[in-house]
Amino acid sequence: MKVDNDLVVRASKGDKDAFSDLYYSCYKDLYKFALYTIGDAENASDVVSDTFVDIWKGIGKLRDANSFASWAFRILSVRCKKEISNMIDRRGIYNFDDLIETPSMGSENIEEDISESASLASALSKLEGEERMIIILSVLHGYTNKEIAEMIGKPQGTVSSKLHRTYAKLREMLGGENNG
Amino acid sequence: MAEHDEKNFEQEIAKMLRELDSKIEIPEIPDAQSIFEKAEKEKQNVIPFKKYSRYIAAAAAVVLICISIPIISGIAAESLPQEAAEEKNEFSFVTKDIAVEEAETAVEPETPMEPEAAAPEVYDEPLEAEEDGSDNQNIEISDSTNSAAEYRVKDALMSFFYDNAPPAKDPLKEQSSSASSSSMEQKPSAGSEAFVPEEGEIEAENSDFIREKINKKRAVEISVEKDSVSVRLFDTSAENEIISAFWVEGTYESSYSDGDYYVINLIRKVDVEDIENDSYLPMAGDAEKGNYVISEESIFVSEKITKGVISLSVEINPGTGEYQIFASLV
Repeated sequence: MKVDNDLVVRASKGDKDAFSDLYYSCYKDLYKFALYTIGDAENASDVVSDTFVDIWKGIGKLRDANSFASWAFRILSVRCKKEISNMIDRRGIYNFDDLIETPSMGSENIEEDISESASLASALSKLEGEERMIIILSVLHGYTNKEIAEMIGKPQGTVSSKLHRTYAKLREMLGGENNG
Repeated sequence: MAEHDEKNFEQEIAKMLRELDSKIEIPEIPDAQSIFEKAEKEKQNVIPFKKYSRYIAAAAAVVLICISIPIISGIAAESLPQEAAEEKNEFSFVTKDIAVEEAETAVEPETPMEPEAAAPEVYDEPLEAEEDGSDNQNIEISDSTNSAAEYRVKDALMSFFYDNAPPAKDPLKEQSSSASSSSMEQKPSAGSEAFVPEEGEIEAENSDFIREKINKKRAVEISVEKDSVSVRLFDTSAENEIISAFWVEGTYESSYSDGDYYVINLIRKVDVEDIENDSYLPMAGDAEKGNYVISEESIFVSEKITKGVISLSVEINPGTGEYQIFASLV
């Protein structure tokens, strides 16, 4: 997630315009992360809004503008974990269909596109919430295991082993299609 | 060969994920104003409880006394609240997750929990516990047993300021200003240097920064930044992973190991302006939970206020990284 440090500094001093700019620039990344983790578009949107409320409340105390992205992901990951447990309580479903946009009719490999994305979305839905968080932060956002550990509040060793296990699970679920 | 396959597979997954990522529909982004409004609304929701909490607590105390009369003698019943307050010459408090916790407190203001009982006495085996997936970074939550009269932090402070001459220049405040630094200052790096210090040995120290080894597996780092203190608890046996990080508004005074806990003392100087602006209550927070105000209910008020300061004592369990904050107006 690319963050303009100047916006963070200004927002931390109570500048609402700067915070608004920060909000619009980070929303997409945080929303996608929440959607991958929770698997429900509406809840993901709510969780991200609540996260930004927390960010606005706490940004004045953020010591280092460089740590904004990891701090924001950490707040979001806590909110996502809570939402996942709420969903389990109310028997909500990880709706991976929400992840995929229908390709335009002009797309050449429309069936292949849908099939590959659907397989991956289906495989993601079978992972644990924390495993989804770890693989998304690692693969899509490029964070190190140490950074992810701080974000999700787990020891680095746990993150490393979970990432390894997650790859193994995905390999098992997708291996036949992609490595065979 | 197997390693090569693994690498290929990881690259393949990365490619597929990026493709999937590009297909995600992003809904219309809600107006940023809605965030400010929601934050303001949450802030306002807290006020009625703060305003009426003393009456709720007073009503609860009256009910308690009425129930106690048949059981305890008349004299004992009369002295019960005061005794309880004196006995509880400390109080713990507060840290819950901002919005959710404030709402919880409003519904359930009295859920006493003994600090000792609440804090598991894990010392040298926390990593195993962490590995099993449990989240050990939750902050200890306990509640005060202060009576309704003792909740009046603001009243007590007002009477202190308006019945007495303003306090002389407090040396602690001078300490605070000498320790000030930019609020956006970069934190010291998280112990990348190799060291094998003895337990209790101070590894690094200057006016704004202390790093101390507190047992075989743990080191604590205290950074004094302007009018707040940041605390980071490290697991030194596993590449210096952080097991807890938080900050408390106040001026650093001292820190030491005390049995199973590591204790950090701070003070929060309160001025007349703080009372007038309703900002006399200290704040604390961490990345995971966001910010929260140390509630009025959780601050012990001694019978006679002698200083316009709120003393804060943080107790950290080095085994789990959990912490509690105790506050008193003395």
